[in-house]
Amino acid sequence: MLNRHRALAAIIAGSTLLLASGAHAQDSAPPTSTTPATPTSGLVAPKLTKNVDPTYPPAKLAAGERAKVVLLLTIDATGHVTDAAVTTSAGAEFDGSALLAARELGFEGALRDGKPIAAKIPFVFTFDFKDEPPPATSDAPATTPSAPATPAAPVDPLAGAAVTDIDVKGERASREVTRRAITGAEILRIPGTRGDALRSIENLPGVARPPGLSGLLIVRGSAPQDTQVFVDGTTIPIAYHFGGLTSVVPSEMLERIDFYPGNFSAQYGRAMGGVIDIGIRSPRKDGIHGLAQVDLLDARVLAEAPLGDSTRVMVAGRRSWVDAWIGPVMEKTGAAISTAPRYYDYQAQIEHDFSARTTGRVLLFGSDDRLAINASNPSAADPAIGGDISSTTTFWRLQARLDSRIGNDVRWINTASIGQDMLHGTVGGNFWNVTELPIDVRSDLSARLTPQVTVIGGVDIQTVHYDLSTKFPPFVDPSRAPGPLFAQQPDRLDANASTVRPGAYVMLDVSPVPALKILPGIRVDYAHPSDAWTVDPRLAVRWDVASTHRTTLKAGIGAFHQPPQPQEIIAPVGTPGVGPSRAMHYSVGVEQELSRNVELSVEGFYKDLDHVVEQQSASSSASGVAYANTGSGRVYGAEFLLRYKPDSHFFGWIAYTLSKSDRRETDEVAWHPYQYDQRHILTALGSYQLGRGWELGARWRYTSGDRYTPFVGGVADFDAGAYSPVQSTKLYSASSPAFHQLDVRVEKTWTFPSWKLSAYLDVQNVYNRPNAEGAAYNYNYSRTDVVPGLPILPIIGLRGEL
Amino acid sequence: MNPSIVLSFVAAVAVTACAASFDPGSRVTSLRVLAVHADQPFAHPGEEVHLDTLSFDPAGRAITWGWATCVNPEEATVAGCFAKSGGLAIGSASTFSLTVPVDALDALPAEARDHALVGVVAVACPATLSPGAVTFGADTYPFRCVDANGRELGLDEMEVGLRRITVRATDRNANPGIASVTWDGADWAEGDVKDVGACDTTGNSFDSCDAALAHAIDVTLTAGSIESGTDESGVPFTEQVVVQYFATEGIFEHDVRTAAMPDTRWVARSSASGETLTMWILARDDRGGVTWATRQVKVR
Repeated sequence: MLNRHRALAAIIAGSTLLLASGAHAQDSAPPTSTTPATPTSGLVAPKLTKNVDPTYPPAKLAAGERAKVVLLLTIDATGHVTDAAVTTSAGAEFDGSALLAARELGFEGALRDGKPIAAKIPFVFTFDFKDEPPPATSDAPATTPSAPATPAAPVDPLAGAAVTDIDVKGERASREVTRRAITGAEILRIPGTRGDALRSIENLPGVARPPGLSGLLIVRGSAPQDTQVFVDGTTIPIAYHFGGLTSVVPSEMLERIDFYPGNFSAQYGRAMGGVIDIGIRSPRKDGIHGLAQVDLLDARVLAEAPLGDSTRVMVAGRRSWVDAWIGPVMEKTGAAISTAPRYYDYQAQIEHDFSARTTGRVLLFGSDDRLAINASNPSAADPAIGGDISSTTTFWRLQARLDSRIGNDVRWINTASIGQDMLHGTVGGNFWNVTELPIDVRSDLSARLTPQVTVIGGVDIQTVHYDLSTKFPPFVDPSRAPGPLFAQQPDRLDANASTVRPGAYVMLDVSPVPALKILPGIRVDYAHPSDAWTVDPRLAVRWDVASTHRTTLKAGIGAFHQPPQPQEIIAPVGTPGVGPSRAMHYSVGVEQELSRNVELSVEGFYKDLDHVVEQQSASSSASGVAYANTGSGRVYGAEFLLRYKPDSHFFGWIAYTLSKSDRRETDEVAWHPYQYDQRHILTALGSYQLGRGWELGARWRYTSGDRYTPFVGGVADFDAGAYSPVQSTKLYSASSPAFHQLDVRVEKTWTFPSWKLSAYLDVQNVYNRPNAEGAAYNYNYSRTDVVPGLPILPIIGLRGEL
Repeated sequence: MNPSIVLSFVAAVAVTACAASFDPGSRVTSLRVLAVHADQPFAHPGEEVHLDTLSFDPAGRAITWGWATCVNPEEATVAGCFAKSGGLAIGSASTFSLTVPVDALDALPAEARDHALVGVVAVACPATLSPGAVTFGADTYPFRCVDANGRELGLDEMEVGLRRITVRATDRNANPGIASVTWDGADWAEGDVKDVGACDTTGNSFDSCDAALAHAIDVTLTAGSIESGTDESGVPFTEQVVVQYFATEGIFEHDVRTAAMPDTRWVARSSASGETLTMWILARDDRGGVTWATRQVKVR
């Protein structure tokens, strides 16, 4: 079994490298100990060198059973486990799983006076899981690797002594058709992401590579605004700082990221693309901890500590310092444009245990992005683009949450948040200012009625007050390319309005037999000022047809409504009366566990969109545009994921998505490829711990090029002294050349008694591929060329952890 | 309103900056209509507006002109204006006059009257221009521009463009004015042909040429060229005025400058040796006002 793991790990690792450059795989280094021995009286206990996660028995997991199995291991002088006996049983299935795993544990043999000897030690496997988190929930990892074994105290040979604990963190089977969970062990180590958790999502099936420096989340061919990002149940306006370089919540504070590419449960509403649910972890209880990290782009700090037995706090912050060096660099190069992008984010939380079953938390987090371009000369392509061009995006949220367990079968989570979003931008004399004051309240209740039936229900209410002020020329039909803004008379629009969106859901988790899970649900939403009620029935089914090496068949169908964006409905900018867009999701797939660490997932999906909000020119409206629910769309495809789950040395996966996304603005026009259609998306990545604190990872990506509508020429804009492009008849009919890129990450960690120091080199675009990030045109759009993407980009960083 | 809009503009600037391999638009090597001047950029309902053009064809061909007007088009673009126009008036005149309909403002709801305009499409065809239909990508235009061999000319072989006359009840916009032009710091009068040496380059990089071959050009705008105040809707405004430079050859250090810093430098290329070049300096405001000056340079 072990060899099989290693072989598959090697396949994935090899694929990552071979696909990229034909490089050959390296021999693996011997494992190193993570648990220093404590010599006493010449006696040294066996040291755990290879940790193994037992398989959580699927039926037990489905039934929500936790357990602790205590074994007595016999370890020979070479460190091999020669025997394992159950001393504290938790039933045949848990015992069997523990015994199976015990045989694959690895140790350095015990020593007496420096000589290897055989030994017996107690060893504990704890099988635990966290409930499926509703959006406002969960303070536990979805799937985290086993905690390292605690140091074994000295033992007498063949006597047994201190207990070595292994926690097996499992998770209850998903209540969605597909949930992709990235574990903490993987998040910080994926090459090309600088250890950024949210950016790691773009490596999963169904997620397109966003256009360069856009930071957009494009899920299964949907528009970026169709995917909602939650932080423990509270929506946030942006997931990434400027340019998508890094996310607005630091990875070190995350407990889990659950990504639902489609067919998500009724707990989640107001989105018709995908859902990303970020869980913030609890501050640690075991003393003061902290970290500091700095690299080429930003610096961050985090500190956490307990305040007594039942209270703990955590604070963190990050600030970019790109502005400190990019400005002088551009000035030295004589560039006419000096850019000064700057971002920061901050988080603070205090958590208190009111009782053994009730925990409360207050969390404050926020983000601030500012971009200013000072172009000393107006652009020849559009003289309006000159002088100060700026963009500011700021948000904060103050969230309070109370997590209560009532008895053994009921969990009730209440969350409330207030916040503020501010968007401000200027382009020449034009500007927009948007202030939003969101208030989110939600209550989620989960109750196990019988061992086979759990009911989950809740309400959530979103209210947002908007204050808009804009000065901008009317935007032309978005299917046409905009011409120069210069000399177009701007509209000065002011709006002040509120939206109120209450919703309620109920769903059942029914397991008539342990292997079968049926998940019907329904969600009802009301949207003001659309004055629209929507009802979204949803159904998901998961069936474990085999449990030794788990084989799960899964399918889902459901309706998903999404209210219009504020600028689409709030007068005078938008059109009052615009209703929600709708999507129907269909999916069917299979998950096949090939071994303890390796799993293959295949899924086909189809999305049918209608009543999609579309924009049209309208000279009789105050804004010059009008919105209507005239659009429709269709997306279909297949996703493949071959994944090697993290073990003590390796993790990796190969993800491939084949999909097609089409749109049409009205029923009268022909289908055309959607802007975010990306036909092929392939990611192969892996990371291997070489030993002695060294880790090497690589990621290779291949995707179809970004779609765009080609220009066939230009017409003059006599008011601007420049040209407007004339588009091809076929929208988004062209695409940039295929994108492919290799990223490599090398990290070295030095472990000291009370802290760790890591240095890493994250090199993006190792072979300096000149990927195209768009098309450039000459002054009258009669000639074209490609816009190259970022060249090879090495980023060096240092990280200290207390 | 959307941050992506800013990023789009940033991208546009970046793309322009990256497009160094293209010949600059400031070099006039084909038929161009550089400006359409209106005596009243902001006109009142019922008022007559006179247009005249600044155009140049290096080949010296006879130009046929077509003119079409539209009132309050759904979309202030060439295609949008053609869609609401009554047809194309074809002739040899490079000037055009129109009368703003008396109901141009009243035809729109009160909240949309800031958009009131009369659009004027001008077509400059260096061949035979006739009514018909020609399609360029998503746009179909009601004319044909055909050469002696019956070939339809492409968009880059003729000039098609839109001029907007803003309709207001009381507001006015005066065209900016050019008071003087200087050459290497000295007054440069119209008709004063400067004699210059050439840089031995075929590229487009100003910095690749010897600084001694570069000549400083500067303009002074007339007082009042940059207007400011409060418009009839009560919205305060201050005009953005830019200076654009064009020439039949050579390389400008900056093609477009602001009114606050209107100066640039220019260098001739050796490919123009022996030629007399034409240079145009245009001052534009962001409310449709424009004026220009023309100068000439002889390359040794």
